[in-house]
Amino acid sequence: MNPGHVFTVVRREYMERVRTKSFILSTIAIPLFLLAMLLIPAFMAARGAETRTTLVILDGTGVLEEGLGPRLEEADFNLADPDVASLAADSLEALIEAGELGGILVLDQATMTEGHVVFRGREGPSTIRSFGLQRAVMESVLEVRLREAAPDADVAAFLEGGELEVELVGLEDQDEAARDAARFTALLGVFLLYFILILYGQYVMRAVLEEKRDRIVEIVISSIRPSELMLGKILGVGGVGLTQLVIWVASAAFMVLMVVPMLVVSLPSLENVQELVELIPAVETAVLLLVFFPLGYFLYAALYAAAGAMCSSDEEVQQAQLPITLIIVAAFMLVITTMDGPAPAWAQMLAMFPLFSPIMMFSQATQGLAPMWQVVLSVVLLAASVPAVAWVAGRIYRVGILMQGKRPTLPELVRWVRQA
Amino acid sequence: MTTMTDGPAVRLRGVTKQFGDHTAVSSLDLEIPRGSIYGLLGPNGSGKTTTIRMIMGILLPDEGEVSLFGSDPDETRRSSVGYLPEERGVYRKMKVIELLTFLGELRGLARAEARRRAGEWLERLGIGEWADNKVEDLSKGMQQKVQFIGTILHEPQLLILDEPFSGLDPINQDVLEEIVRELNGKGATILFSTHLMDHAERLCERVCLISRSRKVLDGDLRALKRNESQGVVAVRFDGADDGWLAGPEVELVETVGSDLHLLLRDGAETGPILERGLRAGADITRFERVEPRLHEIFVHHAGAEAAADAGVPLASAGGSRGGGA
Repeated sequence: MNPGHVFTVVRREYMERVRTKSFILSTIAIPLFLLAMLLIPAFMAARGAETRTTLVILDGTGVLEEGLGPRLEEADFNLADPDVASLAADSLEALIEAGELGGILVLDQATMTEGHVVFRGREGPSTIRSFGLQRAVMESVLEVRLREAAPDADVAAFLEGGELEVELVGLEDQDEAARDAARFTALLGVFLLYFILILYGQYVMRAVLEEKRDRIVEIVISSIRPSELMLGKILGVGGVGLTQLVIWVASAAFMVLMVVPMLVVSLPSLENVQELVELIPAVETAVLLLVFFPLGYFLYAALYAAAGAMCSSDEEVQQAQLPITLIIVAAFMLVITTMDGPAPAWAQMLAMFPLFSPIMMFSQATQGLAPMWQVVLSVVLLAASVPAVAWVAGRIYRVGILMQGKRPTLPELVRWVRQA
Repeated sequence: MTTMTDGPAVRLRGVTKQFGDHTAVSSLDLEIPRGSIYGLLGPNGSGKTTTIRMIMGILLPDEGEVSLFGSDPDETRRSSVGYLPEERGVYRKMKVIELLTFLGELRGLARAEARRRAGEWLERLGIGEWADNKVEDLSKGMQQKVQFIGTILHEPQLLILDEPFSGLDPINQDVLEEIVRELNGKGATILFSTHLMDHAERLCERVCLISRSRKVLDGDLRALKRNESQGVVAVRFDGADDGWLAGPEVELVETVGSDLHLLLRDGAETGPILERGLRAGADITRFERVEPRLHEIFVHHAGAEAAADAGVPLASAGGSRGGGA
């Protein structure tokens, strides 16, 4: 293995890829998309404040208006001044026609018994506003009804949905908010790993197939060893993936640290995000990512490289890569479906095995759900399996890149590995 | 590379390669002297490409040894070899100059040096203004020139060309021949394989004929022809069909220019053929023993089966060959 040869291949692979339009676009587009996701709701909220609809409440029940007023304001409606509200129905309708009043909300006995409300206006509220309106009315009705039935109850607490206090048995005390943050981080990391393992693994596979199909590979391996070429390709493509990952993580960090605090002023709901971010176990996650990403990538990239080398066409390679991709998908699905709480015992065992650990153990370890020995064992097994898998894949690669024609059967593959 | 040990440019001893049940090359001995132009000849499927791949170290022989310049074909030695495979690939999406720089680097040139030489060669072959274009934007002929440049950028001491003339347009055939002769003039050894005997005849000093994974014969081309000169008769005639040519003495009848060449079986007399011609009423204007062409030597030694592999038509009893010119 000559490092100079590997480096030559890495540089070509890396430079050719980062210069492509698709790389530049996807690298920039994702952070922009994230930024838009943050900015658009803030923008909408700011705009919504300017276009509040002004309402007059005609309360035939006499008991609802007191509670309903504040609720409507919270749902982004304005209440008309008392002097307007006391005008006769004709005058109100004239104001509506003139566009100076948004509408009249008519409450009567049917509101108290069936939740039936009449909104009179030149145009109806938007769907979202309708929900807000209905909810405000319903909560007000329920509040009144509950007070009548159970004067000693904390009605406000009921209406907010009550409170579930979780007490875990046998686990160390962990702040629930911190656990949420860890779960959120694990999920984000799992998505990232899933995405990058498949995407960049398949890039390696395609690159190998292209070299084989375009018949350039024979020229290259007449100068350098096939193992040097394979390693160079994996490192080159991996470097591109790492570049993209760094840009994404850096821009996400920038947004969370710089943009979110600025937006919190105009969009109070973002405060939750900010609190969550402050609880993220950043160092642990970074360490785990730095262990599982490279090891997992090498493992899968070697398998994908072998798949690319044994095929001669796009159709063939789509089939050959399926088992590899399915394992990644399975690991991902297992994590997603067992996300709410500790994983079942069999999933915990599975998470220690090399093909699954990059995603499953990362998730469990980030959330602090796996004992230390399991984490260490899974990393040791993974690290040990990388050279073993690379050795087998390298032999398949070495024979495969010079073979044209039909994809090998399993016995043929075994022979390739033995004779290479 | 001044540290090369002594020994021929290429030496194969008892080299055998099998793929499953198929024997591609069978106990092949080969010696290519330094500075020679050497032709590896044989029909398609006879084992030429496998032999070359073993010389390049791309495949390892099951038995026997391969040596380049007296030692194993390891990395240092491979970096003094230029190789143009039969399937000449390129990275289609790369810029021409980047591709050539990369290929030069793989063969051990420094990046800047590889770039400089690539630029010079592109200018010399008249495609300098295409340096910054993607390879896929070039015409096929221009891509072929780029492929030659990639093969010789590092000034190899041994140039290996696998079926170099297949698929080349006539202009590029001349370009390649000129480059080959120039490098050979500077002392480089040239090995090329082909199934087109005429090309080999024009270029080679030494040849090795292989058929069905085995060597048929090898040696100096002129010496081979001298030794074989008893076996071919050139004939020209009018006034009869060519049925009289076929007979127990004749192995093969072929049209060569305005003559017919009769390849004789070993020890065959020419008298009976001439008699048959006179009896058939042919007006014979030429009947002369000539130096055999490589093709005829091959067929004579490899036999009818191998000749069939090579697509060589054999004279049948019915004598179906048309008249000369």
